[in-house]
Amino acid sequence: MVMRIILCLVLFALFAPVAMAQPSANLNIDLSERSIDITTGFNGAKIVVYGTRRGEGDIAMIIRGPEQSIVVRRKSRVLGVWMNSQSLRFNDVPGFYALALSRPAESVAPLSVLRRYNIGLDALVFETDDGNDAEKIDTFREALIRTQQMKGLFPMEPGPVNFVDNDFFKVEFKLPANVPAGIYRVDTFILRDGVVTDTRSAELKVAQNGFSAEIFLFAHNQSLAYAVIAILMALFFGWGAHSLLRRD
Amino acid sequence: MQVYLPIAEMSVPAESILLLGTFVGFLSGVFGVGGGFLMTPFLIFMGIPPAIAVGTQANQLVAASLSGLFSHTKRGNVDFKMGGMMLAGSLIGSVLGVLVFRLLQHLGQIDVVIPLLYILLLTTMGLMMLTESVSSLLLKKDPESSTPSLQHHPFFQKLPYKMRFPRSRLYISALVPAGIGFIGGLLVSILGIGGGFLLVPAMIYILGMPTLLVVGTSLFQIMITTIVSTMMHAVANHSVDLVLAFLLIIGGVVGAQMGIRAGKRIKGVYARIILAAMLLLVSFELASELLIRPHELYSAAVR
Repeated sequence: MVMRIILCLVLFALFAPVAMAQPSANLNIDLSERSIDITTGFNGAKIVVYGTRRGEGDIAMIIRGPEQSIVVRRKSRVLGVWMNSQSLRFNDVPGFYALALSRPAESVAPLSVLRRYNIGLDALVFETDDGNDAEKIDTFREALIRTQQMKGLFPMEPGPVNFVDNDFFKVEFKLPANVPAGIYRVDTFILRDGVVTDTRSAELKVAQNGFSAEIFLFAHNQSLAYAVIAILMALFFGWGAHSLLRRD
Repeated sequence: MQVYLPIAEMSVPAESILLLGTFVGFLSGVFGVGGGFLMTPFLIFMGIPPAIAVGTQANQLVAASLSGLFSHTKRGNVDFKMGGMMLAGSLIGSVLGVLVFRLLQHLGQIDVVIPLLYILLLTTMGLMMLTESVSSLLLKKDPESSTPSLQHHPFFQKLPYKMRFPRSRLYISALVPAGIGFIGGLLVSILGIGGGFLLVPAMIYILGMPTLLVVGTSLFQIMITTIVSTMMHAVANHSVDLVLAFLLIIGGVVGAQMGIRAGKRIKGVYARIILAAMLLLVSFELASELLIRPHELYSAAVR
């Protein structure tokens, strides 16, 4: 039985890409980069998605960062001091989210369709396991979107889809410097009369690289040695500062 | 120039971190305090997670306290036995502090408790220092000559484990320095400050130590405590950022040089008044943030 499942999976893995590349090919996309390196000088990145469509239809494109579990807290006044009182945890919040639309979302498709494909902030629904207080979940969800927007991780409004000609388009996404590392997904949809007729996806890897990655790995894998080096560095500079002073 | 901090996983302008390090180093040069009370709130204000601000700050304090300790040791101004007793308390305190820090993080109240503790400490110390220095200025008397010591208070006299401290010429219970050290250790782990501005007066007023020995002995205690605290933060929480620490230390080294030069031109009393005013200002700023209704009531943190 297990063997049969594995066999099925292997066959699927072998043929799925072929099967996905095969159909009508109404839509094709490619990314300017497949991976983004977070190095010591990292200050955000720009990613361009090129695409072609065959025939008419609206284009919607979203990019989502790795899912994070985020706790939203609300302050209230306790004994004259503003402190955190209520909290709610959302389990599957994208660490980064942006979208581009060829027309405003409401004229592209009804909300139910947008919801199914996570197109637009209004269509993003996060899973939470504490509480079934719908009103609370709603206000906390809005607050979450607001705070993510302030950090530049969620868009204030959808970006444009730039058509070079009728079939060829490109979309630019800007990743700010504080984006989380992980696997990003770019999903592109072509919609006609409020129905998704074709979709294409691509992955983008965002990872620490070089010196910065080495430090991160070192700190997590050999934390004791890391601590010793941190202390030795401090001792060295402390000594250095003293001997500099003594010269005067 | 933007620099990516590998542990905090965020990018910060390197200039502002260097500048912060220089400014705090300058203060420590002028006033002989570590300046952690300014650095931690600033780092948190810049968006660096509190745990990483505190852990990295502990590492930076190792450098700051060592450079000060050298000159005090050379002049023989360190009572190592007293420092050792304080250390015994501070190690327990710093371990407990890391646990308390984790508990508060878990409860989601760390960003309220840290400012509250700062306000409490800074206001008390600021007011005490201000009244003391202003009155000494007005009465034109040497404040050190008439320090009322609490060591003869019946409470401290009755404590067990009495011990002789020849360097300080004291015969007191070992529990008193250990207790002071314990509070110092808690401060290092929870607030990321060496606590010199609290330890120094406590050693003068409670222990009755000779003023000459106080700063060197507290630096000795702070250095060992911050070494242990860095170790624990790095191993248990992975919250020491080497790049951030490096920038802070470099800034601190430069700042301390300038500070010591400037300090030679400022009279001690005025320096204390300025420092007191600064403590009160920071605490006022923190208090207003807690007391005034914030623009955004909600906050979000990745778990």
